[in-house]
Amino acid sequence: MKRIGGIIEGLILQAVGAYAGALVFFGDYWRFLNPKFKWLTGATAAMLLIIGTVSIFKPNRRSSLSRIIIFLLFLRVFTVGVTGSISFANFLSGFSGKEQIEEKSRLMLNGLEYIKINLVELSLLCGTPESEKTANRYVVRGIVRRNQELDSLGQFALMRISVFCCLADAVAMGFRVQYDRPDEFADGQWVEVYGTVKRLPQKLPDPHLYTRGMLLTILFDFHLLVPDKVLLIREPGIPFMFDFRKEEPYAY
Amino acid sequence: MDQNLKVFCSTVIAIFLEASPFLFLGSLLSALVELYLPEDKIARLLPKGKLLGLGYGLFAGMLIPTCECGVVSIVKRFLKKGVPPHVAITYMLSAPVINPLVLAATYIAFQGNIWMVLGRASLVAGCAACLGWAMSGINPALLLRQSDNESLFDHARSACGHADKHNAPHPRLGTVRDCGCYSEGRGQSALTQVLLRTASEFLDMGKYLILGGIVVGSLRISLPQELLLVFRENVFLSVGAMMLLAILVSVCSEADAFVAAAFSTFPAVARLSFVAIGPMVDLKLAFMYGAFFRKRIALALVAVPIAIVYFSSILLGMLIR
Repeated sequence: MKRIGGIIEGLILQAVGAYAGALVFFGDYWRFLNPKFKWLTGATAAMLLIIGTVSIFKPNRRSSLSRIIIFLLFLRVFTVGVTGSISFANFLSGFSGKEQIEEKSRLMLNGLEYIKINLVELSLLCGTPESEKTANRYVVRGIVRRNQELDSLGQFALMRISVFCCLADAVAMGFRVQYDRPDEFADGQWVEVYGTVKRLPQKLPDPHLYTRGMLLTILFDFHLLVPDKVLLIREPGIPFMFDFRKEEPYAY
Repeated sequence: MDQNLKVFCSTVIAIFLEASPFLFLGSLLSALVELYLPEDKIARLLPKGKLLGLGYGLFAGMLIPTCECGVVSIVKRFLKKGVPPHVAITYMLSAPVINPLVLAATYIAFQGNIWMVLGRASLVAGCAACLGWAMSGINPALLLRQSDNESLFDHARSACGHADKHNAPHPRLGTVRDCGCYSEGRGQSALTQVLLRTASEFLDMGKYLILGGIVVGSLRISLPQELLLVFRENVFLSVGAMMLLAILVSVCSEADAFVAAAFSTFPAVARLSFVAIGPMVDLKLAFMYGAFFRKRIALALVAVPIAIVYFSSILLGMLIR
């Protein structure tokens, strides 16, 4: 009986390794972790497959029922969690995690040049004394978030989720956008905002925006985006922000 | 799929995948210590004095960057091998923070604020040294719970029942005792023994990581964000709230500084308390402490860092003001 338990534990280790490997090669890895850690998860998956195989052929005679039950529960959670996010098409995106980085660092619109930047990078710029940088024109993208408080001020929030390591540390971050007709956009729509950043003399009141499943929702309260143009866009392939740079080309 | 279920599953998977490389490395190191580092060698390597021992623990923490999930496994093995608690416990609590990787991440996250880096390192090192000092006289074996899942190489379960010292595993006979008996690992190559021990350790520690992840995932969908923001104006409450958050969300020590930095509306000491307590006490660690240490020790490992970090942060907050 103990021998069977040991074999089951070996199979569990193999299954965990196979799932993790599949997520690295064929899955939407970014939904769980920063893509820069793909190689680390891939290496761990390979090691789990190896120790799982050894455990099957030389089963541990002191296997434990609690370990088996808890890991089986985890495999169930894994199955539910990755449903729909593993496909062969993802294999082509490779290991690099660079799928979010685009080549051109600037865009032209109506004869004006805009620097492509993501919301975290823009917030970092606003936090530095290099105020001349915030005088540039930028293009940022994110999700429209609206509520009554923002609507009454003629504003909407442009939010995006930033992830440093894994989803457990994910934070929703964004800027307010001054827009006279916020009702042109629905909550949750993806938009690209072309414009400038305006520093405010005093802090804006908290509009009480919260994002489901996030540790925190941060709306920068001393800065406002003043758009030249707001365009509806399709959701990017990887909607989260993983890469934050202090110089051009920004990760966008 | 229901949105809450999606968030829950994604959080559990993310926490496990993020920690699994470190858990694996910790298990591997633990297996190597178990099989290749005899007690007498450890006794020769370690200093006799308490102060020097604490210094050794801290220094090891700086040299060997270990995530909080992997370090418990290594320290458990150290204690079984007779490493004095003041060295092992100091190492366990300090290693996830006072290594160059995490300190550099803290520096970057707080945009070059060296005081935040120094404050974090001092608070964690101070906590680790205090607990190490307090446990210095205790027999290492008395710190650990009697495990219900001793390894296939442990003496107490060996065929002959001897409880003598381990030697390095014999290539054909397995782990040979001083008396000439050999354990259940006989006939297995050294590599096989290392891999089997690693597998067993990984499953043992992973079990508690998963339980911790499940609790964190459940909190993610049930904890109202707005509740936390109520406390931000008051130092006493904000420090407590940020510490509670660090314990509940169990963010890895390499990423927690970025999360803390994002709480820009909270007082600096509250953010400091967040990055100081998380790597020493969080939900997944609490499960691991409870599983491997005796009840009183596990309680001390949770309560003492909380008390030290809370009161030090408050004091610091008053001094800054």
